[in-house]
Amino acid sequence: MNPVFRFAQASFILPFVLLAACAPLALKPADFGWPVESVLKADASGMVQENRYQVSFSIKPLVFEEKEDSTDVGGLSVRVIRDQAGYYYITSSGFRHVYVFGTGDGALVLENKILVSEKGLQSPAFNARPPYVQLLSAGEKPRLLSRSGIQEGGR
Amino acid sequence: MIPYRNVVLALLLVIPAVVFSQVRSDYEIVRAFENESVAIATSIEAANTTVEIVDVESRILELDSTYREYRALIDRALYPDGFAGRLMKLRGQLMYAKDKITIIESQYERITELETQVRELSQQVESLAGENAKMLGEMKRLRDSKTTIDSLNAVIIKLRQGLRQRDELVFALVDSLFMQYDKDVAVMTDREKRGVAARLERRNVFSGIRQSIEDNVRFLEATELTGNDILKLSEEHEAFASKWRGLGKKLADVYAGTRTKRAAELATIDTMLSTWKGKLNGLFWRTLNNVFARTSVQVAPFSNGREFLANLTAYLDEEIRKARDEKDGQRYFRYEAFADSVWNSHVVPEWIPSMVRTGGLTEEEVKALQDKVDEWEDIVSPPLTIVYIVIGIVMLVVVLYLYRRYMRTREGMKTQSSA
Repeated sequence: MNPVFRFAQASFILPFVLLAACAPLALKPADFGWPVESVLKADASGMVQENRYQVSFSIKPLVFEEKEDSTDVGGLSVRVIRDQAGYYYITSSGFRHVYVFGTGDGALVLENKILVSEKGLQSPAFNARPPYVQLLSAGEKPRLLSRSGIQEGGR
Repeated sequence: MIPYRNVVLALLLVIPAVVFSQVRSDYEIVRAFENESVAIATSIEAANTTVEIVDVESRILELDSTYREYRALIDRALYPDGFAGRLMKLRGQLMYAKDKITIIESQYERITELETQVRELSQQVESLAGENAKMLGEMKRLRDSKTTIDSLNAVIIKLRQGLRQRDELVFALVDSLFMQYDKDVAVMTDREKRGVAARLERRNVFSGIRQSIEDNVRFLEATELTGNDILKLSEEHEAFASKWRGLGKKLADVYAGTRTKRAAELATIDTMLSTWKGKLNGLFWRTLNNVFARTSVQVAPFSNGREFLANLTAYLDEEIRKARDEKDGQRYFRYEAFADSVWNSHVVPEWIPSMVRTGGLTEEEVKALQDKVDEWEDIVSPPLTIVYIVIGIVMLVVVLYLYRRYMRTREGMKTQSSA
């Protein structure tokens, strides 16, 4: 075979081979969803601990983001649930937002901040409704959330 | 195949907003199941009498029936036990506890039977409470619409039955509960009293009784009744109050020496019963006053049997005096308005019997009132019909006589002219 033709052929195929080799290995499908939310109470330093799934994180930055004050987070309860795709949804009584976090390097990284109540949620709760997360709040219509925002039941 | 996501969205669109407002969080359901199962496990450990064992058995059955519909959720949330696993553990614990306590089988069967009765009654009370609440709403809606009188009456009748049935069930439930102990509350040990108190609490006895009284009062506030109806309701109130007096004594013994809110609630229920009685009493006289006011019969307002008698007598005396003094045609119409629209159609059939039965009026006083009404009628009524009939007959006889006389004269004249 003509060497020029061989070179041309190789230079055409090589990028595809290299591309395939660089793509990360993905195990699909995967389901990270929690069947039921967890209600986690912060300790004096603002840490919360989920025992069944062994997750712990500080809610101080979250409280500061919501209230612009995180001096008194000890004893505050937050409601946490994880959706099928692995995102954490966090809110608490009196919050105006639901925060959606992805996982980062030793941290939860904010993916979206969804405005759900102008006045602040009263006794909020999450239900798993795959592929969504249902948000309940006293006196309000339940809403379906995804990581990108309110999907159903918004005003 | 329809995507799962679409099914979820479609379901959410179909389910009405009313249902949404009552959505219970999954966490709450799982927590409630978990808390109750932990409480049952603690009770099994503490149980050392047959009554306690039967009680725990009943609670396990209830736990099973209440949360069966959430089985899938509980299976996922309570890993690794799940719904069935948790119940199996409880039943295993119970079996072990039963073996520990020497149980006399006949006593066990009797108590189990009573406990089954308590459980069933408790469910019936709950379901009737829901039905009655719905009917109260329906009754108000129909009353506001003012169009469907038959439907309204049907709802009122059904609601009254429902209220009465629920009242009876609440007391039957408490009776069955106390019967299991087979002894007077006064001689129970503190432990037994605590057991009774816990079971009264779990069966919502206090809220059941309060709810019964509140529903009865709401019914009174929302309906317009006749004196006879109110009398029946008063009898039902009396029956309720009498049962409460018996039960209240037992409950006072159960809570004696404790500072629970239930001890204070005994007095609250007494007050609620007095309020109910007061409402019935007020309703009786208010409605009867309205009967007169609606037809513009100006009897001075009254609020008891004595005032009713005095004011009505004064009214009748005044009307009799006017009827004697005035000779115009209006006096008959005034009597007619009183007799036909108020006295004979409402007061005599619907109110007088209940006043006599409750001692508000005596038979003699009723007769005296009726005599006055009759006297008024005599004065204003036109002459009796019989007089008109007699006059008519006399006139007919005269006309016939004159006619025959005329015919005879005519025949005489014809005979004369032909001769």
